[in-house]
Amino acid sequence: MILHTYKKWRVSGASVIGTSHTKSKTVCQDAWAAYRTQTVLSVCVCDGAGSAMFSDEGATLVSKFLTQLFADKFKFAFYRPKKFVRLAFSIAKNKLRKIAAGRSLREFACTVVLAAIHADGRWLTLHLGDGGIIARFDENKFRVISPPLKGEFANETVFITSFGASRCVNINRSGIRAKNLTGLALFSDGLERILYNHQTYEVALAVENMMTWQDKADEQRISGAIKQNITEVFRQKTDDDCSLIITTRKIL
Amino acid sequence: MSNDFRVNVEELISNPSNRVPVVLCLDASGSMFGDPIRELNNGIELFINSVKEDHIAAASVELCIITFSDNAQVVEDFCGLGSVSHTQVMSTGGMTNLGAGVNLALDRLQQRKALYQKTGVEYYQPWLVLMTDGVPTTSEHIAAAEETCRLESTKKLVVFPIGIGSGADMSVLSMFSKKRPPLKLKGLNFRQFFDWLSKSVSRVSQSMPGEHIKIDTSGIAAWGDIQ
Repeated sequence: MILHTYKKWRVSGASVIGTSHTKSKTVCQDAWAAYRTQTVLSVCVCDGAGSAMFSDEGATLVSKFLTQLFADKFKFAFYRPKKFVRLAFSIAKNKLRKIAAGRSLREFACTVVLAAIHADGRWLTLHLGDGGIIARFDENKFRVISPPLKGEFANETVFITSFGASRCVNINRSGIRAKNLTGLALFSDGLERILYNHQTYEVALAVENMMTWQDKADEQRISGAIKQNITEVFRQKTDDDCSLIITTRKIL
Repeated sequence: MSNDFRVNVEELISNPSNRVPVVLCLDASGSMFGDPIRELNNGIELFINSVKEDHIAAASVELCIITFSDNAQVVEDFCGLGSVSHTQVMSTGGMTNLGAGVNLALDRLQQRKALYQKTGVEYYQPWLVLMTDGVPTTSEHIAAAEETCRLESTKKLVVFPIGIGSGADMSVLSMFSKKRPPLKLKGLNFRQFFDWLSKSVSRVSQSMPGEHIKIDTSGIAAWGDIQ
């Protein structure tokens, strides 16, 4: 197994409560998680539904569970993604039912924005609901590879607890010999409106900038910087909870 | 924070605010002449000013004013509240062609939504506020009501049918919404109605994905009666 490419992938992220939630004294309903095996790195952002009472618990459980599952079973996920997602969502919902302990599953509703990257260069992204994924290919080709999945109206989206959720996902896969992915930014809907232009799909300079940080400091420090930037800069433009994961590898 | 790891606010994209399109479809027939039209105009002014006080709603709500009498006309086409120039509705006399008014409102809404989609602007469910004090004088309203009910049942439109005074035909107004019974304005309480409307629309403009918006029914008592 060629591990040298994988070893260079580094991950940082943060979830920060929105000012609207601070005002209404609700908790941050976003969660993020990252998980590594010997060969796969998996990252995930989940945004709990605003109207669901325990969606923060749902987001935490689902992000942790799915990152682990996609890393452990990457081969299955990569070659049979639709079947895999159906099974993964079904197991995730069973886990939610357990912690729900009789409460309605809807109260644990959350979206899913996930990516799994293999050491050999293959990658897979899974996206349900709002939020999105921006990719960097080669040195500086930025592309929104998974825009928000919404209904016609701004407050309509799909959650893992929605009926037929596994049929509403957006899945992207690399080719078998792909080598050109060099960075990913996964974000929740709080950052949707400031990280790319919704009409032209132009990516914000901020994303390009942040994807260079991993080369300059360790993961923990960059996570702190992401958190601080969300709190001090991004929240000037959004009042929703915000989550952002930046994962990059050195450009060889 | 070290400058190495600092994002400038200029490096972020500014997409337009999510829009809430609101159409006021208003009776301007001869019977509205005098006090009713004066109170209606005061109410519209109050609505615009109240929404402007809430900065998120002010950036989101887009208003279109349509009147109908013998024919329907656009008094003010969709625009942000800061740009509304015609807030005064005139009673032009004539009959009550309710159907023409609603059809024109639905056409304008469709065109506005097409523009949002073309320009990548996100939007909430449009609101149609229908106010009349009389009985329709043509049969155009039958097809128009079927269309509003169809849009309402597919969650593409929120309809508020409001009757003014004892002459309003509430059974006709009830044809425009299967979800919401028509409400009768108490006297000429336009101000109270538009105050309630501005608060309701502000709540929509601040809603998050997945949030179900409940209309504030308790506030209706200040201005209306359910028939």
